[in-house]
Amino acid sequence: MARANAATRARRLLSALHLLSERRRIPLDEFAETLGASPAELTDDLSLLSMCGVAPYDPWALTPIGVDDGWVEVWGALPALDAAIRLSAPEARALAAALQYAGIDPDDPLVSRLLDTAATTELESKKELARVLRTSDEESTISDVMMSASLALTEGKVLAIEYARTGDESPRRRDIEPLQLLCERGVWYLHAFCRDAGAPRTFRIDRVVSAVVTDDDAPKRDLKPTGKSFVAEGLPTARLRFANPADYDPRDWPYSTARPDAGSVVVEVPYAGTGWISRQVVSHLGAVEVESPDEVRDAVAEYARRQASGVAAG
Amino acid sequence: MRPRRKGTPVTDPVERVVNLAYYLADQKRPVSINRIRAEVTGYPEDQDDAAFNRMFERDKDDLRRFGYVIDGEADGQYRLDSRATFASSTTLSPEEAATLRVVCAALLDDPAFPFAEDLRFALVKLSMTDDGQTPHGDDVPAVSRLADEDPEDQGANVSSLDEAVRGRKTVEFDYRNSRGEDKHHTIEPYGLFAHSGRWYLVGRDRDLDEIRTYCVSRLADMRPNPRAPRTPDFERPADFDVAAFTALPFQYGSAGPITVRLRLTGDAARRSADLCAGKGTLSAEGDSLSWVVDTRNTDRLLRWAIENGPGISIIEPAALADEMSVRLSALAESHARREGSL
Repeated sequence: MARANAATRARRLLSALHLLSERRRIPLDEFAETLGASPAELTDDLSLLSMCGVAPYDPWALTPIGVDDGWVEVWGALPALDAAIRLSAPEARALAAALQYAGIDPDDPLVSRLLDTAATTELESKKELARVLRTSDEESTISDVMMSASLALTEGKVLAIEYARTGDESPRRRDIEPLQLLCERGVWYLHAFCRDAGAPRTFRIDRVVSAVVTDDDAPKRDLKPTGKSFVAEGLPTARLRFANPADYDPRDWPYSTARPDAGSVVVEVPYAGTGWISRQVVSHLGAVEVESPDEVRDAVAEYARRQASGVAAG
Repeated sequence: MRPRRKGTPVTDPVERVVNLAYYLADQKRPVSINRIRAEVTGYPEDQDDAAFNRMFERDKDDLRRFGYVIDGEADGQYRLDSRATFASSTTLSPEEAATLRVVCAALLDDPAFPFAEDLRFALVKLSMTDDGQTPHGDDVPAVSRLADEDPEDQGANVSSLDEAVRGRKTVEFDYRNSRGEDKHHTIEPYGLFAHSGRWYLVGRDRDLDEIRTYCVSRLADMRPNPRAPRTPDFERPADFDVAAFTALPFQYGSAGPITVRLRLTGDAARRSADLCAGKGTLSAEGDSLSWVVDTRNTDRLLRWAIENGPGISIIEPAALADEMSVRLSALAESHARREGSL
């Protein structure tokens, strides 16, 4: 971790004085992580803080703080500044941007309450903020589900959801034990142990129709969330051929590998089930052909037929 | 720790800035600049007036950026406005607090999120820090990958561009468009949005005199105008809204827009709010929904309809529906098993 500049180091200390005043004793590692510093750097800065205070700068007017055996300890009252400072305009903006990312738009009462705690003389209006910055293309439809999922995750509770998979006529109820929320390319997912399936599953948040935090405690399971929406290891691969190499965009085919072959491109793509890959191939409307395996070729033929009959019926 | 006497040289500016904050918070009445100079440890005694003034201005600017409200420019008597500086308490429901913790934990570690440092200090001020009591233990409760191409570069560029948007400063950059053509641009940046793993800049191109959208990952050698940093270079149109430039994939392109009508049924109809993203006009049609929307790229529209289906069909124009049907049938035929094959 590179050493921060003086302004950032001063900001760390001055932003966290109220935490020191409230908690008095904080593990050094935890406090360093909270402030985005290394433990060594923070130890140096807290040593500096212990020399700061007010006139007459005698031992009773300085910051009564020290680091001992991995703990940050405060053993008296601070000289001043023991209450939390209001958010600056950029801090309020960052918070609003983060909440927008979770589908909570700037008009939401939560954002209003948080922005009301900002130093209002500097803060651009909420409308102004929303007009120049958008961190998510998710509509606010996901915010309720995000809130329930976050609560179940932090409190270790079972979440009862109604979930609609691609093409499902109606959503199905599932009881799940949340493990991790994940956002990739603006889409939120929830990794969870699904009690109905008896195995870990990944759920797209925008396909969760409703989510209720139950009173049931989720047991501690020996499961490590992958931190990815899709795990390619161990999956079968399909071999695809793009006659025109320009039609191959690696972003459309996660974890694929490609090689040129006689003017075209041959691509190996891992797939978990034939549903996603057949939809992807069909959506390219002839720009890509499946060479193998047969199960994917069959799925493509079947999906294209169904889509064609749907268009004809339309 | 041994106290440091006033006048003792202080080499670390952090100590001086913290002392200044303490001093202003400790005063009951406004204080003159001379008293500040005499009583705050950290300002060298042998410093000339001009050097002291520059140092004091920098320190005040820093404190203001941290959220401290300092009055007194007009009469030279400085005071910390306690009411404006100290936060009133904010009550959050358990769901709200959990969402803040989880989402922010993800974004703090995402290099493509350009406001991580400000977000970190916002959480500290709100006392929304992880006290180690959450049941996820060592596991990270949430992970974010806002951008999948060069996330560090996109995050750094968006941070600079956002500063230019707020300060209304022009930016220059080289840009490679989707056809691989390189061109230099001078832009008045109006807004930024993230979409499907990429950041985009919306602004007026001074040479073209048009508002255009640029993919941030295609920018190179981006430079905000460094002259007169506190003086805006342009005015943003009063009615500008970046949301109007966030489009569905088939709405980008240089072709003139054509209007299409689609039918959404079953699962697609249920997800219409997410799928249609507020674009076009949706209306009920029996058990299904009719959606009238503009497109600039019909190939991309057909692809989008299939990617997001089943349950999305083109109704008008009829020629486009026919084209889709013909291409799908050809695809089904090309992947059908030959007679005699296993």
